Amino acid sequence: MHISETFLFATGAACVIGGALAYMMSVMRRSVLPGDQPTALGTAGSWRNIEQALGLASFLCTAAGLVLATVQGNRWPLTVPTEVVFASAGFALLWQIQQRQRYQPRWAPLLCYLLVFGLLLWAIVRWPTAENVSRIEEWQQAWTATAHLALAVACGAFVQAGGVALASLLSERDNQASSPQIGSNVALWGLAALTTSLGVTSVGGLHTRGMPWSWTSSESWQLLLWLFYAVLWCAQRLLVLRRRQVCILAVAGLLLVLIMLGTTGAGPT
Amino acid sequence: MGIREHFAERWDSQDILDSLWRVVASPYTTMLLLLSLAAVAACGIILPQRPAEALADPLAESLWTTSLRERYPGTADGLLRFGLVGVYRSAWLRGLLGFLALNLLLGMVEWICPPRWLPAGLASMEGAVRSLLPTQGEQTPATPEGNHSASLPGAAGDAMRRACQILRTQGFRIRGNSQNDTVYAQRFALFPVLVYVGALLVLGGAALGERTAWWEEGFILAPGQVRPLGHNTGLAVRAETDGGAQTRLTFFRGNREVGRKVLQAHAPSLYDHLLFYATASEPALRVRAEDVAGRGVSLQTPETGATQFAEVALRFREEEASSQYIVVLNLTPGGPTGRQYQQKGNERYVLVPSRDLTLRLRYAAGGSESDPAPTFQVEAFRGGETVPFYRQYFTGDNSLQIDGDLYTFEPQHYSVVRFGQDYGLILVFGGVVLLLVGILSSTGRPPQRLWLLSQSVHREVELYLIVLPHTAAGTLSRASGEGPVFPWFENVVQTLATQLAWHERR
Repeated sequence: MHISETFLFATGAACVIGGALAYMMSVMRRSVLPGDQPTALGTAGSWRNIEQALGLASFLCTAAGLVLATVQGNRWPLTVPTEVVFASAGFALLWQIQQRQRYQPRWAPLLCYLLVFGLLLWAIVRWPTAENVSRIEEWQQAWTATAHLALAVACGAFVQAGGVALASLLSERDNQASSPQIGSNVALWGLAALTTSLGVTSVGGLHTRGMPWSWTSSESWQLLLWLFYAVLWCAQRLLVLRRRQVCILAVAGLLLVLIMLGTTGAGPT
Repeated sequence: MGIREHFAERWDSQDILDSLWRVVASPYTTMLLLLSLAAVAACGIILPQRPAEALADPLAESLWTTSLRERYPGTADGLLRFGLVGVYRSAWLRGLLGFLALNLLLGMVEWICPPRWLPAGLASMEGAVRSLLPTQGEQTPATPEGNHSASLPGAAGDAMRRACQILRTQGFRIRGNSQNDTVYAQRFALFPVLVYVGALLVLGGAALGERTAWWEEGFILAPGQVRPLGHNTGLAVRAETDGGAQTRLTFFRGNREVGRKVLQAHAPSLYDHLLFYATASEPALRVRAEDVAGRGVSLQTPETGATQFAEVALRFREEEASSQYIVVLNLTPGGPTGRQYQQKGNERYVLVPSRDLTLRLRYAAGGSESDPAPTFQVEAFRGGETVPFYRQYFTGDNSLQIDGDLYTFEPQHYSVVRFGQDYGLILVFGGVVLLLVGILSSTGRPPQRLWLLSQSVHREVELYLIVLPHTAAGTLSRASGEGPVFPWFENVVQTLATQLAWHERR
């Protein structure tokens, strides 16, 4: 059977929906029965395991689709803007799985799954045909691929942190009980990844074009995001703002990331 | 605490200079400046930006402005007036960056030694912290966040000494004397300093680059030609290329060869603090003409205008472009604007005014293994005729008799090099590395700052641990119930309580 990358991406999106449903089932199980009953916890726990497995499966499908597209196109990975959107969705899932042991507002995982599903759907619709895959010169592709990998890690982190922050803002009860650090450390790790992306972009520009910075659309978007998340860093590490203010910043950052990915501002430099 | 209260607390109308210092150094100011810079970047993304071609050529500038007015009929004048179509080169972007540099510098100083820069020094800070303690008879605060207390028997000095020792073993640096009843402790506070230093290096490097960096673009070298580099380097360079991926550069100082470098395609090479790039290697053809008596015949090209030469060099490109006169009016951000006569890249013309003759030369790269040498086609036209009266193909050096004159063609490869000097880049890349290390370390280990206070109550010593928002800035206020919770603080309190209890048992 011939498996195309679109099929793998669509399977990944279906797994995300499955993960969201499994999470809802685990929440409903906890709600129906008293939370301290072993049966309730056990049932909810098994649904959480299914949810984690589906999340991981979705990431693997997305990664496999990207690898397949790379092999078939005989080029470096992540050199097409839409691939950055796929990779961002995949890394958002990974961040979500990595954060599963930490406290999150109740609907945060569901929001994250919905955001990831939206990104995957958007990317599948825009997935390029073989004719217009990449316009980047071969000698530029290694730098672009490295920078875009770091950018995708950063965008995934911002999407996950933004989803958690949005859920936190929407849930008044969680607001009072939760820590100021909810989701925010992920955004700061994302800021580090974005700094790496900017650094690699400028070293690559210096190496290949002789100019470290040339205000291309992609560079401007990355700088805009970096400046915005630097504000979040200041808010958390220098000022220790209230959690609600930090959440508002994280949600605004999420909007910026979605606009950037939606307008393919992560396009080739 | 809101932004208004924050600045109100930092402002003291009795001492304007100190107040200015504290306001400029505030992290809130940093955040406002970063948001302003983000807004500038957003303008650059959303609005069309004046390209470099329009800055260099007044006619292109006029065309670009006209197009801008056609595309944005109502707002173009406003965009031009406020400089929104050239934000990356605007004075207010530089002003914002300069202000940010000042803010980061003062903020870093204040972060490194906060108590020293308070209005009345550490004593004032202690007084302010002490005002948070419960008075005699008052209930100990419910410690909703950030404040913890413990009661111990014995003298206050002993308890403080022991507590300071325990904090030191936890990696805290203690400021203030442990004999006193108030000390200030901090841990991991230097990680944000790395971010400050990194950001300052990036800004400093960019400023240095703008003031001192220079680049020479499109430096063309014919085979065997030795050209001085200029810019007070005292160096001259010769380039050799076979049209492949490598260009060999030989450097001379006076007549003495001082060094050699091999440039790979699309990779820089450093020599004597200069960065070199081989931007292109172009096929070229040197053309000379002599009449039957051996006298030179003057030649022209469309690129060199009316000036006549005894010999002309034609540079070719391998790709074929459409042959047309075009005005580029691209309003997309970063799009080029300008006028150019774009011939086919592989086609050039030589004019012979004295003979009313035009030669058209076409280049075809030798692609196959059996025929690796490039081929040239020469066609000769008389006056306004469109049909050539002469056509010939040749490879390698060749001499052809056309209309009674002898034309000599010599195929060559020209090297096009870009070189320059920018010491700011070292600072910028060093700054980026420090930024990255600072962000990573401060994310993994957030800065931790607290006050340890003791108070004797009924022959017992009460130890208070207080962590407050904005201690970096010296802002103190009674923590409200809405304040944040610090997981690390809970751990420190737990450790301190356990170890103090162990000491008591001993």
